[in-house]
Amino acid sequence: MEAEAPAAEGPARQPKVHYRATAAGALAYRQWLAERLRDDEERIELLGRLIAVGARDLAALGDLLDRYDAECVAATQRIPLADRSGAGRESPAEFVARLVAEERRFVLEAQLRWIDYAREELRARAERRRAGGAGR
Amino acid sequence: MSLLALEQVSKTYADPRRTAVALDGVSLAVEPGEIVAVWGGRGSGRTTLLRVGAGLEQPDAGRVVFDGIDLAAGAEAATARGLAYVQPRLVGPQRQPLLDRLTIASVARGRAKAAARAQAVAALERAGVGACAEVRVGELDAAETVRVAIAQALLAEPRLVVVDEPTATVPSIERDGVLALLRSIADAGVAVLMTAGEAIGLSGVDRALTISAGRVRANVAAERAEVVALRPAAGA
Repeated sequence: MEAEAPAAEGPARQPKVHYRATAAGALAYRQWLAERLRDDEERIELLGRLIAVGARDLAALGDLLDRYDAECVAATQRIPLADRSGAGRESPAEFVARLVAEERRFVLEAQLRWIDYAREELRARAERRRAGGAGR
Repeated sequence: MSLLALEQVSKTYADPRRTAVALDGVSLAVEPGEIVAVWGGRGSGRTTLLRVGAGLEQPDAGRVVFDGIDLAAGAEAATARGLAYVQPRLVGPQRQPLLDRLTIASVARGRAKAAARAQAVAALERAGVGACAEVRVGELDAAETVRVAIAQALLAEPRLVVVDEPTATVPSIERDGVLALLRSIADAGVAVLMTAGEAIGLSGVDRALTISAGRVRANVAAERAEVVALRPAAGA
């Protein structure tokens, strides 16, 4: 982000500061938006299928979780490790881009934990069914 | 032939109350210079997978082969052929000077003390903790401890480093550095097999797996980018 301060018009007025994104900052923001939108589309489609298919077919639900798992793992794998060796010298745009990448990784971690939790629930439900319990 | 191969490995723990399946038909291969990470929740079997893969525990079924030998022979056979298991905590006397800790085994095997210290200092520098050479074990912080544990493994000049949760105790902003160290070790030709309790452990690895109830679920190889020269080679 760059700041521009036009010449003040009079001694009593505060200079008005206009902020403008740097090219690198604007690019990082557009990439972040594109990534989030793509992710949300896939996520919404997958969760929709989970609801539609999984309610009656536990095996199909397990397959969908496996697919979700593989997608989250591949996405996590693609995020490069941050190079913090120049952390004190990086530009504001580079700093923010690094934080944004990290946000994505935390979200993916939460998704992986949810998948793990859902599998545990699925196993417990399957065991109850085998034991002749309720919840069909 | 893979450097390390787990073939249809199963392992169960049982006590009078319950039976827990830790590994259920797990197959996995690790190649030289490859970094493989296994992500899983608590009780998923990830640590058992690592310990069985290092020969520290024996499977109930299936087999584990490292560098052509069946690890039914035990962990000593694996160590002798270049498998180093890293426990990212330094147990034992905490007031012991770090260099003494790192050189004691080498000196006991007959190496000159000065040569052993030079080798230990070089390993610490390789692991990014050269400045810690003169401190005591208990004075290391969490990230330094993990790096020192990795340096200790490097002293054995391993072909495979097996690490259990290298970033579990490390502050968030220092995790990338520890993982970059493991990446650099793999890039130098030493294979790395590790477990990860956080998603960051999967970033940039060659193969990422997830494990749940002892079964491998996702098994994703990195998409290797083709290297394109920016300029034509001289004379081309």
